[in-house]
Amino acid sequence: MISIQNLSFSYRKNKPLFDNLNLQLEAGHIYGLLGKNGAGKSSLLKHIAGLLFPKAGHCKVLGFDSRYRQPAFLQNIFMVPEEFYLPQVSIKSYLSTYAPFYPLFDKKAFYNYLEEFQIPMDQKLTEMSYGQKKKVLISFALASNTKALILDEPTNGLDIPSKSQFRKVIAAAVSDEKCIVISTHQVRDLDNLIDSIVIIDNHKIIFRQDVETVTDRLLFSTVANIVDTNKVLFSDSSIRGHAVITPNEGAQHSKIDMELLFNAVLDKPERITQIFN
Amino acid sequence: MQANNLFSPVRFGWYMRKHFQDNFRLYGMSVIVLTVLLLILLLVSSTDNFSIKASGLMPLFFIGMYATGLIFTSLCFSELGNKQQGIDYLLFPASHMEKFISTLLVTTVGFLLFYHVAFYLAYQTMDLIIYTRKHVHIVNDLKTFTADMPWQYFYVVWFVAQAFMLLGAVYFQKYSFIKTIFLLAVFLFCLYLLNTVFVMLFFGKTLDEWYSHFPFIVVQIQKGATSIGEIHDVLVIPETLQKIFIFTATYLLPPMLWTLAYARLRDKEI
Repeated sequence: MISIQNLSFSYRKNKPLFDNLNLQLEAGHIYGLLGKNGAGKSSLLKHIAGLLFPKAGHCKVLGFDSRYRQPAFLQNIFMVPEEFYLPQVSIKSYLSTYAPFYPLFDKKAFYNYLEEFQIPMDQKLTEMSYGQKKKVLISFALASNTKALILDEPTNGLDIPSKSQFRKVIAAAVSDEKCIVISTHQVRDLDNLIDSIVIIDNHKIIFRQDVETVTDRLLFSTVANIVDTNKVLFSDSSIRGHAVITPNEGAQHSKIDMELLFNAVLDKPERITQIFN
Repeated sequence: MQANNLFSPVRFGWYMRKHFQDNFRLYGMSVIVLTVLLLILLLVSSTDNFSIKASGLMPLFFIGMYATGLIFTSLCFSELGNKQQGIDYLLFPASHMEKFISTLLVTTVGFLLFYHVAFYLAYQTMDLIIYTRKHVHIVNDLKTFTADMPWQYFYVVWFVAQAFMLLGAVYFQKYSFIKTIFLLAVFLFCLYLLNTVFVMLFFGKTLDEWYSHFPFIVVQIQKGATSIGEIHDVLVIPETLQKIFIFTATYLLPPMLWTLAYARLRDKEI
């Protein structure tokens, strides 16, 4: 679905952002793209959407070279940027002018999503708060039924109930034909939502695994005292005890702690990679 | 590339509809403001006891057309200067060709139509005011005026200027009007200097003054001297070449600049 091969890119000379980056993303998955601030998450998404052009290598979506931004490509990809634009029109007007450009647009689904997000249909876009506008755009993005859906920091600006609604609608929207990529630095917002994790750091993809493999190989637990420090891959202390990641040698089942995993991968990339190789 | 990815009439129609739906308030208000502004200017310029001929309004008509038309064109890609709007514009599922042609039509045909309507409304209002005050109408002497004056060249030059401004609008998202005017002035000055070097090389001391030429068209030289004074001669390029220049400026230059602007739009990154 999304194929990035030998991608090199830099905003300035001698300061590469990506150097020979490779990434394959398949349909039927919700990918969480995680990384520190400035790691290049948004730039990578912009390459996928065709808003930035590779200096070397290529970025293809459904066989289309993103950089050409052909209509056949654009009607199959929808990007919800972190900072977005909505024209100063009513929802109905927005729908009537934008929806015809997406052949698989589902009007009924759009209204259902708006209802789920508790957005009144008669309200004008200009009178809405930032969070409400974002929910309209997310609803439109989902209803457009594009094969690739890219969400850059989608939970920014959403209140707590809306974050939960967001997870609900995204989980319901995924299908075998769709590839959803969500970039965020608020990793807890993606709990129970994503099924694959991609971590980007230092211009490279340093981790790419599906959640099932992660929980097969790693054990996430909270302990009062750390007994065997050699076994602990990463730990984070809080008043509840120590949240630890250890190799899952006994094939036990545990719930993934996205934030802990993210910190572990950044802190000890070699040890984590070793376990997955 | 599939033909449908380059231009689809149906999609183009939808895109134009979207453009007007997004901007109808802005355009509607612009026509009203333009009409009122033109009316004020017309009234100010005709303070000599309200006795006025239509031909006397023509300088204002053309100055207004150039000023508003070029400013309007310079703002046509302003959304690319705004990250949010730029992303919305570039990721909208229409081809670059459809987006570009819609902008081109709006800034040429659309603008000229609106401007003429606005000027006509201002003209009619002014005529009504004059009739109310003096019981006479504005003298319509446009037939004589258009017969004496090659007025169509004002439109030709406008299209060339519009094409330069459109190219500037794609390149510069902020202060594009000023930047384009400045760069165009620099370009024309360089062209003038280049021509100066050539005419000095070709004509040497016979050149009247270093500035006595118009780039690639005319040169004034000294032919000799009499007791009364110097004899000058004006050398103009052959008529065939003049016609080629006019043809190029009229029919080739604007499309060339539009094509450059289109190519630049395709390569736009945000």
